[in-house]
Amino acid sequence: MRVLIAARGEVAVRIARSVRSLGWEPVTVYTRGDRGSPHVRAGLFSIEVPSYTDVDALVEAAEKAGADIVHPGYGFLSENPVFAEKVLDAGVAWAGPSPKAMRLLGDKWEAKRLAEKLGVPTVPWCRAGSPREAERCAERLGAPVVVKASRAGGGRGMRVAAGPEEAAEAYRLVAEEARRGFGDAGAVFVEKLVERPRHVEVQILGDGQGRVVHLYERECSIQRRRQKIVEEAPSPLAERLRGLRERLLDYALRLGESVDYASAGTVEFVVDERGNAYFIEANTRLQVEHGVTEMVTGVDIVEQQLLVAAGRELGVRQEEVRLHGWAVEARLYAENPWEGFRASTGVVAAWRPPEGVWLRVDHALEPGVRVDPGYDTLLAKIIAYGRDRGEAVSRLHAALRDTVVAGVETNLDLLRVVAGSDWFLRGEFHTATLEERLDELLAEAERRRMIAAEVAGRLGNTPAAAARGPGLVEWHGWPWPPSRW
Amino acid sequence: MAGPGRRQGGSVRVVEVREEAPGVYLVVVEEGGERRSLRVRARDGVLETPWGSYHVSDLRGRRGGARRSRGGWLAEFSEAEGAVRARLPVRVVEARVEPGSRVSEGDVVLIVETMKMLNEVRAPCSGVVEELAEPGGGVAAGGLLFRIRCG
Repeated sequence: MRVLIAARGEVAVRIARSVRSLGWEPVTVYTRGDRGSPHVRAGLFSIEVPSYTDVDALVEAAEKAGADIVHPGYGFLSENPVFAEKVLDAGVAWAGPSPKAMRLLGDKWEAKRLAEKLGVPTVPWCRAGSPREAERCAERLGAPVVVKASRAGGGRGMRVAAGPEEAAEAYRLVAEEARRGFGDAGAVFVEKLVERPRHVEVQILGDGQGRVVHLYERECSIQRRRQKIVEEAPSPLAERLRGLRERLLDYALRLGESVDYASAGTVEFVVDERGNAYFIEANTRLQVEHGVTEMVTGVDIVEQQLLVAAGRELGVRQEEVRLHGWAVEARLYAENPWEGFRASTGVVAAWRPPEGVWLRVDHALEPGVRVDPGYDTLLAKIIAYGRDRGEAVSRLHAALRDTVVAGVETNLDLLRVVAGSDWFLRGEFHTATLEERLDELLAEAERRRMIAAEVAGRLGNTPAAAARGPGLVEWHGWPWPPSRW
Repeated sequence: MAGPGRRQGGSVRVVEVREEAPGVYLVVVEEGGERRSLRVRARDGVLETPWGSYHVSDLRGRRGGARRSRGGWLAEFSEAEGAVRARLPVRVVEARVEPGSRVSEGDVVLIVETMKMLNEVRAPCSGVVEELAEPGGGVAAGGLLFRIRCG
């Protein structure tokens, strides 16, 4: 079997790994600017394409490569049913759900209606066709509200409005954003804002013939403007609130079964403090944070996607899926938190990934890799495993302290401070916590960096022992590294 | 987005550095009048500290910290010049005020597009807007978004 991976970066490398472990052959694609990227070497060979979103070029590459399956990764065309159809029309299997299921679940509006039909709770909403209607919706639902384009995503096409008047203004901006980003505005709807919500999502796997299993839930409440930053499995909230997990799993399976879901998918919910869960959307693809689920269930999600695409049986039975321990993931982004998280560019000068038995680092980094602002800013995912949450979090914190990236501004300093925070350790957070505490977290990160810079500046003037020539090393300053100061 | 506004350069001072073992240093720092000691290791261009490792090249030119400045992440306000400049390339979508109009601090002056998102650029002070970038046009990083006479 040969698999064309229509993705770049860490996810292309990660998918190639599963393809090879099945004894199959991975083939990757690259654009001119990505010639030297590690994912190019992850395949048996790699084919140049004009762009990762050029549907025809990718289908042609699949044919040229003699691929049996196309795996779209995440991002780019992974949720584009037109691409899936063209792949299938070319006689190549698609490592994802059917285009029909992608259409149904991919449109937030359609998915919401489907959920309501199935008895899955959704956030109270109202459809708006004009600023005036948005205002009336906000009055009816009660502010604060969120104004969303049906095709919103990644923080785009969404606005929070504190009152009816602001809802009208938000409507104008959202409709304009949707027109620019997605071609047409689509439907815009106004939703009641769930305050202090936590983001919990369920991983599902289906065989396309009616059998759908779940791989438990993940929590991704540490986010900034809907960009997830730290994720974990299982969810601390689901662990704490009795009955919540069972409800979420049941809702997710209902949705998956209703569309004869094939391959991997995620059903996302927001959950308020009392445990009221509302379906928000379904993602018909591999999720960035799938790794934490793999760590606690032992199931290779990509491998299952590939098996299903190859027409084999799903290799997982529900009764075999169990939760073992805890996994926490931190996303290393090429973004400068001190500059409003703007994307940073540059060439990676040094990269020292953390090492350890209980760690998994998914990345496609090496010195010399150019970080291109035209693509997603995700550089690496650092995942730590432990028997319980405390163990996993302290291993993540240690791993982040060991990580070194140079040449590109990243959010690493911020991640370190978050992983070492009391509130994070206690699992007391919601989706706005990071934003609310940002100034305090950045001030601490900056303070530490400043001390390091002062020390480094001073050491620069001190002749190092190494420079004095080799000598007998009698003492290394153990224990190292020191954990506190 | 208000900046942390504290910890300006010079609040940390390295008092003493002693090499304890090859590449391992005992450092005494003074911060806000308080002295603390810590152990660091320098190896292959990496400085390992108790709270994390840094590449030395990344720390250069960073002494003094405070990289956030007035105006937020999108725009930068120079008071002397009375100019609000873009920090990154943007496209001007809409002007909410006319040149010559009076605005209050925090009023939306321009709507700009960057990274496919629409963002509001607000007045950094109350005053009179004097010159505005043309809607529909692009503004390069460092380019003028608008001028404002405060007061």
